[in-house]
Amino acid sequence: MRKRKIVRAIIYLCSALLLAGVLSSCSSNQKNSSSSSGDASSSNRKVNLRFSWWGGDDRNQATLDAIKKYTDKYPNVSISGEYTGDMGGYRDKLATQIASGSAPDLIQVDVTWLPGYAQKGDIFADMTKYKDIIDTSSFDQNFINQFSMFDNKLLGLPLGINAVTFMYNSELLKSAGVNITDNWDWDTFITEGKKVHQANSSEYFLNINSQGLFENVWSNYVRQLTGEKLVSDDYVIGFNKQQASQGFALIKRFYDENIVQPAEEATVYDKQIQQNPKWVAQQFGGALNYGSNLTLFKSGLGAAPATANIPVVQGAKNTSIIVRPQSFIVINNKSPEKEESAKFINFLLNDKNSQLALKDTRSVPPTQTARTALEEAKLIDPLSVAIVNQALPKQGLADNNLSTNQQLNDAAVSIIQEIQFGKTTPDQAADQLLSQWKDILRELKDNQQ
Amino acid sequence: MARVSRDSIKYILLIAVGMIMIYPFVWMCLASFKSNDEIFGSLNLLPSKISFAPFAKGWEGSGQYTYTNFFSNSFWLVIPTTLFTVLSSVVVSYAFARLKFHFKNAAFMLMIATLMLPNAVVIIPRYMIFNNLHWVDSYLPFIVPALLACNSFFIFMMVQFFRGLPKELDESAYIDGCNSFEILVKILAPLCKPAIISAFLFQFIWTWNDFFNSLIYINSVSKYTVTLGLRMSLDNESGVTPWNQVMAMSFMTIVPCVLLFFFAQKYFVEGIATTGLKG
Amino acid sequence: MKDDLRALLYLSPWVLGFLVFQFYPLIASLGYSFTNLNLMGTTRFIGFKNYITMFTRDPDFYQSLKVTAVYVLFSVPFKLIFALFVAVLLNMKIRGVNFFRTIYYIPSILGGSVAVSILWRILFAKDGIVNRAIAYLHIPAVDWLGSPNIAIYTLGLIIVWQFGSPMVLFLAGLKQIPSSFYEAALVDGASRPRMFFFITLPMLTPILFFNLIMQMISAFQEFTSAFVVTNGGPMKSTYLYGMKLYSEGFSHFNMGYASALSWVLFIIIFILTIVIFKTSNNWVYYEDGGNM
Repeated sequence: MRKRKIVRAIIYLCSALLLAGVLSSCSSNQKNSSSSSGDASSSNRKVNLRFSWWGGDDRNQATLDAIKKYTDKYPNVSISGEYTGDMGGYRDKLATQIASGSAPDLIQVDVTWLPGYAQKGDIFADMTKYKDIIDTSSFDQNFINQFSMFDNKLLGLPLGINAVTFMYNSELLKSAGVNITDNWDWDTFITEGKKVHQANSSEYFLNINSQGLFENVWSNYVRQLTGEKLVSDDYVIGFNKQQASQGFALIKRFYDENIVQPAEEATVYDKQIQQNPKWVAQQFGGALNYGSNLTLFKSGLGAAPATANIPVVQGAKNTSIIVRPQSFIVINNKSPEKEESAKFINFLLNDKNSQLALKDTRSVPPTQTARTALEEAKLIDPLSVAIVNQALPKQGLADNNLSTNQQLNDAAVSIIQEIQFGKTTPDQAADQLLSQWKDILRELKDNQQ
Repeated sequence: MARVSRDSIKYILLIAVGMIMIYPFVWMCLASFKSNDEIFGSLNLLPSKISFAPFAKGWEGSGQYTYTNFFSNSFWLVIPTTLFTVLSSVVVSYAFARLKFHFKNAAFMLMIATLMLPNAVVIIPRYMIFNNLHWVDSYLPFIVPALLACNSFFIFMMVQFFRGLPKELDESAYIDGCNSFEILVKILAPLCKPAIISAFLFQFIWTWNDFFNSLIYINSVSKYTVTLGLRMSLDNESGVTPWNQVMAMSFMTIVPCVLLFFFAQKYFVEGIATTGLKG
Repeated sequence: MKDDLRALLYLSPWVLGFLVFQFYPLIASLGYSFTNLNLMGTTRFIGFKNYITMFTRDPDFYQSLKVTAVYVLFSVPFKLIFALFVAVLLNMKIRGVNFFRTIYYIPSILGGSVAVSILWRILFAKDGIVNRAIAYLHIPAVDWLGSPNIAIYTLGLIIVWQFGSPMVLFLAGLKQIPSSFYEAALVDGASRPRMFFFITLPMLTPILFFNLIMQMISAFQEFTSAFVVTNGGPMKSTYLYGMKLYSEGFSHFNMGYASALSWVLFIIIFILTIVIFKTSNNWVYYEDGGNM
């Protein structure tokens, strides 16, 4: 009686273990990543690459098309795309994969993530080692040096170019009597902008969230005042209390003079300002945002959308008009197929077929050849090219990695929220910001040593 | 007469609260027919026109893989996971509820404790285990833990239900010559049918809707489940998200869960009341 | 009499799964909490530094604790009471009850779906549907998600609305109560409220106990609703502990610090759970005679 019970239980246990064992063994041979032997030139060796990116339907389709053009040309290569539209989820997954050493061979990383990853130095491969494979001559060299070089290592190549711009509804602004010039300062921005709400009390000049107020208003204003980076490469803050306070006072004026919608109403859409019903109903003058977001914002810009450079302080030491990459493509340093990955990158960015397939799905293309090709084929919105062309000649000092650190960013954004809700004064905010940033920078410096 | 009016009060109450419950579902369904501007800009529940194009277009997915793939993947992931979870939880919880053994309280607390550590921090060590086992990019990180009763919620839940049954049941069955396994299968499990069905429902719906774990463990688009498929066209960066398609597909993805719930909850009706226990 | 061997056989799948997939990650995260583990820089053992930073230099830590406490105290009792109320309602023998049960469970299926998150903003915006509805009752408009004092309760409401799983368990528990109990009470001439308080409620205590523990644990860890609907704002008034953890771990890549944060949360939940377990002898009624 008792024996039977035990036997049955043992059978149960064994079958569970067996099942687990069988399942694990069938999965372990299904995913044998490509062998690393053999040189890149041999064209018959089977090569499997994994390429991950995030994006919407258009970008996914365009990237798959470009991949197909490559695998048609090199039938021994197969590239599996791993993509999702959810950028936040993508970032978390990438962090997990990198932490456990299973990231794909080719990875799209956001412009704000690369500096963080680059600090460690050996997560992504140095592309200067593949100079013979990847032709970088069609890129603007200064641009690459500024954004892609870390300790003399080329860690990524830009997939697109981006600039912050003031995109506006020219019909609405005209009827409110607002006069936009390309050479304006923040005072004009306010004195002109407040006409919108004066003309119609349900309309506002600027649609912006707390992140935008920090990134595109406060930071630019402070950099224009100081002519310095927000934080220097040796962890020193590049502005003083008075300058920070002036920046916060500017934001306070936005609210006092009704340039922007009251925080209590707008905060509901803080994460996706283009979903604000007032934006959809074209009751905003415009938005300060990246040119790559133009399609996202277009519905609120009316029949005649237009763009202008951001305002610049009179006598600024630096225009702070930033042209920067939209995202990068990098090679995983743990990839067994670094050379093959490099070959694919060269094709992706330099081959005309690939350029025409990718179109402007990652903002304006990074190379002159691609821009020309797309303009000739009429595959690009002239307004997005205009944004880049408008900004390039007035380009200011680019920010360094440290200044775009996520922790510094988050601390500043939450202080700006207190200004938005009128819970603190510009002076108090400046004190708070300096003390929090000093703490964070001390921590970051400690971790580096 | 009093009977009728009391019933109608019940109905009015049920319908009034029910409207609040179902509103988002109806809104989502109707939003499938609206343009982006209409979704964000208008408070009207009804769309200005009806077209099934968003359903057809949404179903095509990425073009490379359609929702037919995603749905079948979801079933391949969810059904084994759910069945194994229910089986293993019933067996394990029986030991906790009915057997006496050393360190039982300690083991029980340990089991409950695993629910208390936030997922965000165990992700990386757990991912490393599955990666070392070469299980990443398969459904094994879902199925094997289910087989090994790794969801303490269900063990705890079944324990509570078993403990609601009188012990005399086991004892009389034991006298009748049943061994402990037979007691579990023939006596206790049938009496806990509502609980077992609930466990099945919960695990099915939770696994079906789970986004984060599927995102982390599944790489190949060919193995994507419906939740991953849904996020694929959510472009929060450069393009315009076709929200009507997202709504249409969100609607489609919850239909299996709603149907399953509708058919499964009927079995609640045959509870302990019909088994003649203590009667 | 102890059944060690037999128990081990029944427990064997769990023992194996626990050791490999649960105990190891648990211990690993404890280890991480004493390091500066991040994706940048080298990982070093730094002793209690993470814990010291948390308690002495991190204002967000206290803010998120405060917000989470308010959230747990508000959402858990309301959700349980509402779930029990609906379960009793849906346990009645009336026509179409199957249909109603399904409708009442739908919110829990929709959960934190991205599609629905848009709806919350449409419903609770300043000129949204909820404010228009209460305008008929001459109640002034409320900044449901825009006011730092109110947003956390609005978020709580959204969670209460997803009362489906405790409701289903209450329903399953109600079905387990032998009908003979009620028949006997009827013979004795007991009123309905009396039957509820002296039969239904006591018989449901094991399920109530389970729901209380589980809802408390998950409310402490709540993340999705805050992330999707309010993103922690306005002014960190909905910055739940789960969001703090997530932004340290995945936005700032401070895995060491995030692990320390989770262990603090773990200890808080653990203590509260033990307290509830200890008191359970006084109010939870088990048919098996109590005592595990």
